Amino acid sequence: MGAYEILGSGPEGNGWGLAVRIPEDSALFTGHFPGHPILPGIAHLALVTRAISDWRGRKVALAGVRSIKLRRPVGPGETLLVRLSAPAADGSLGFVLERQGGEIEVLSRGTVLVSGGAGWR
Amino acid sequence: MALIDGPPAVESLLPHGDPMRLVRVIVEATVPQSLACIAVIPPDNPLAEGDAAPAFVGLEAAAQAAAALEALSRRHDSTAGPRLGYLVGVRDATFHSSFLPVGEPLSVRVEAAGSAPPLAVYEARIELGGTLLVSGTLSTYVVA
Repeated sequence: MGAYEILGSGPEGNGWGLAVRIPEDSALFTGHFPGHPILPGIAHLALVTRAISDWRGRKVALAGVRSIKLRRPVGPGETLLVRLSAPAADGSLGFVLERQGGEIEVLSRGTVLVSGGAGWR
Repeated sequence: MALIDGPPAVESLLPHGDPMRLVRVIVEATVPQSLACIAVIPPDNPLAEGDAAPAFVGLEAAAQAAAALEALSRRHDSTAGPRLGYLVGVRDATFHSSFLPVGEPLSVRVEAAGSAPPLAVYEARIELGGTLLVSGTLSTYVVA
């Protein structure tokens, strides 16, 4: 039982895209919540971190979250796309998490700070 | 309202189950203003990586602390008990450490900073041994 399945990860315009599927039996749903599985909000940040790591070519950590707005809950079996914007001069990086399949819907968006700051790539 | 009858069981306040239930013990609460608790990231938490977890896992601990405070504020209600709630926003979160230790007692404190039910805003701090690890502002939404 993995947390999520990587469907693709690569450049997208000036940014980066990471497509994943959250399996019905993902460990991320265990205990959150019993009988009512919802992807924890922090899992959005885990996916963003994975996308940044793929882009940079090595594992990175977040230094902070300037903002994130979580607009819609994510349930089992959904296919998601993380879109990263090109990093700003101060090292901050914008993202959008979308639901794929059927009508595309924005699930969360925000700006994170990456350890190492400006010039991370 | 102070906890004159002793701290309530976390299970009676939160709908979370293991390994996503991070808050273990309520230490102090001044309802509805603030709550201090101990949280532990269990080794089988799906976001843990060996003996550490990304600092953003601390935001989940803070959200659970906020949910516990919200549940305590409804204790006068005969239907009080765990309600589903969502973390819907974070602002100005600073990770003073990129990772949090697994299995260590983290001190979590949340203070109410505003409310427009079912939305609420909390200032949160997470410390280990007096050292600040995570701070930020959370927004939560409680399902009626």
